[in-house]
Amino acid sequence: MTQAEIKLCSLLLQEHFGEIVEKIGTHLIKTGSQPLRVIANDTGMSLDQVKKALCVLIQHNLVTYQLQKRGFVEYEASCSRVLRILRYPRYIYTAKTLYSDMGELIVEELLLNGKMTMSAVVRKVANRLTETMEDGKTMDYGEVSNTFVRLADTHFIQRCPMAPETTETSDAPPPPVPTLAVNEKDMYVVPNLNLIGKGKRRRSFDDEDDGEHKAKRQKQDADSKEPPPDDGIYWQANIDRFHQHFRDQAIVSAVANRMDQTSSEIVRTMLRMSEITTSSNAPYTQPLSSNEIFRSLPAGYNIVKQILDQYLTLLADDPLEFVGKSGDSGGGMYVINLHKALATLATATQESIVQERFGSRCARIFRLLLRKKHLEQKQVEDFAMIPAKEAKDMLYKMLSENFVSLQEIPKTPDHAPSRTFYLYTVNTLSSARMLLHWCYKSVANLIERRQYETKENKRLLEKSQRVEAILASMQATGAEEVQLQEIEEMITAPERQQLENLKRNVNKIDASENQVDETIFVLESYIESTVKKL
Amino acid sequence: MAGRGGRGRGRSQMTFNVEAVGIGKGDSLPPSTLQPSPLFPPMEYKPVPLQTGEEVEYMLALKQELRGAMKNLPYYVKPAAPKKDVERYSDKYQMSGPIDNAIDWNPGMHGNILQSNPCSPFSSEFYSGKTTLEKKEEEVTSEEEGEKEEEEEGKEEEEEEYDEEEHEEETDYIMSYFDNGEEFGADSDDNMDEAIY
Repeated sequence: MTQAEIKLCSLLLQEHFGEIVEKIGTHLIKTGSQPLRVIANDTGMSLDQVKKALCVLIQHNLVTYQLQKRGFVEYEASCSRVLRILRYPRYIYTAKTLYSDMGELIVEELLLNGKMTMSAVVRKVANRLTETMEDGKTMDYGEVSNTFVRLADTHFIQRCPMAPETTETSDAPPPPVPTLAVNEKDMYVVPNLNLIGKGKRRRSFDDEDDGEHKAKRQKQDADSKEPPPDDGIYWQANIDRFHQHFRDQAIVSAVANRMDQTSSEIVRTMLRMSEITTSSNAPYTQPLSSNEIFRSLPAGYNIVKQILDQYLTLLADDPLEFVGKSGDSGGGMYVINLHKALATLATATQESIVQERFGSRCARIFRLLLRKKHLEQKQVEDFAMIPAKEAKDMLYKMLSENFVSLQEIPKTPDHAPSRTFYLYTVNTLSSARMLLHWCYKSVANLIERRQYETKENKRLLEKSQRVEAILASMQATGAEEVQLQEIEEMITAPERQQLENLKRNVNKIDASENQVDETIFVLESYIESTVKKL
Repeated sequence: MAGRGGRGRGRSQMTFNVEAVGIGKGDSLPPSTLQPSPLFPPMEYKPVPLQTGEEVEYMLALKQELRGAMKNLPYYVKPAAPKKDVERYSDKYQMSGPIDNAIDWNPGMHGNILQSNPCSPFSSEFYSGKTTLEKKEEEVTSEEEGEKEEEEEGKEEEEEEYDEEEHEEETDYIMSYFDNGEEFGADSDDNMDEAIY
């Protein structure tokens, strides 16, 4: 965990959970696991605040706790999990593309709240959907829970580990912390719920009235001790599954770019077939026979078996090695080399970064080194067909930025420069790590810049919000056109211009954050899969 | 200090033999840098424009919406309201909520296996997200907001009722009657979450 990561974590926590949580979270990330009182002592905050912050962090799966041998409880924050906050929009968008608005809202609610019971999610989503619908129409709970079940079936959401049932009669004092356990079998099993009802529209006028009723109802629930049917079964978004989906999408589109639509469709089918059977970090998918693949191709796709076989041979022969042949039985067994695919994607990312940073001729040298592994300076000049002086300049520049590394091989033990080979090479793993570090740093910089921009224009933003509010209320009471215009003119033209500027800048920064996160995803998956393999 | 008079005669300030690193007798050393490298060095190559398209736009909107929504959730722990510049006479009559919103807070401990351990933040109540934590939070935030910002009318009434009950015995003053004029332009709260940057 580097300084850049800690900085980014701290910014993300601050933006999403406020300063108090940020302070505790960052402290835990910096120091590792610590018991409650030490945290309070070190940060100089009251115990209450620390408890509150820890609750929030645990609720959002950012902090875990463990009972130490000596009997105290230690809390530990997960840096990598905090960084995933950056990817939340992408998870939500993916849910939308796969399961439409309902999936989007379910995943959004789960991410916003960290953990939720199914009944709570369904109720909330149904209410939210009802609000967006036309008057008189409502969203049925049943439909929402259907989508929920589908998300669970495809493993996009999963159960949280839950506290074991304890018998009330046991005399022994309960342990200081519950050991949360999850039953592998039940991980994706949706409780059998009879959710009947319809989403309620929030009425604009007796809003508070409604809230009061709700509060009362909740109180009644508590009084009558009637827990919801799925009490204790909480759900969370399965981030690994989302990552697997992103990876598969990336592979499919890479194949589509490399060959054609049909071959990408074949690869997509193969990936879909092995979605559940292959664990998300396996280097290869399970072998699939060409007959199986043929049967599983989408119905609308008119490919004859012969053509499919040709495509598969072509894919297996491709130097990219995304698809490999693992045997001849069953008309040929094929696997997808997931590790190789991730490595290729990461290398392509590096190539394009070198190209955009140092120009196309440097990229030529970089690619050359990637292909030939180790080269002497003279060989680089010759193979890349770049004049010696320029090639030297480019190599040194890349060397100083750590994209290229230098390997010394002395002929004699004294390491005399005249009797030593100097070989240039590219270490993809280490440069991927370096680039990842850059990415974290740039996102942190982007966030800081965005906060600065907003802060600088705080007064203006507040003013425009106030004016909008007044306008809305006047429109509601049916004010005249002239009056409305008068109020609208409270924001002058230059101010309007400034607001526009601010909005454009903030949008641009936000979009950049999303885009950098895509690069982060590629690099991280590559590093993760390589480290696992070693 | 005076003993180091020999300094400043060019090469002799180096602690090692400069010829060893390949700088000849006559060569001049590069001038020393006295300032840090520029914070924003000029870029040799222009960055490529950002991706555009429906997907990007939608993700952007999602991101901004998410950030705004997070701020209104109970999980966003707000720090104690900073002390105001001067003590005003009217402060006494403002309904101050708990000064530090972390004070009267209890992570939902009723009727659960973990009852006996007040230190542990775990209980099913807590996990459900929509429970004591939220309720408490809502109360606290609404009271806080009431201090300096306009409140929705309904809530105000609610609060006022409560205030009267609480404080009427202490003073004869009808506390809810006090108006320092800050309540002007009520309902702007309704649209607070529209423009989020």
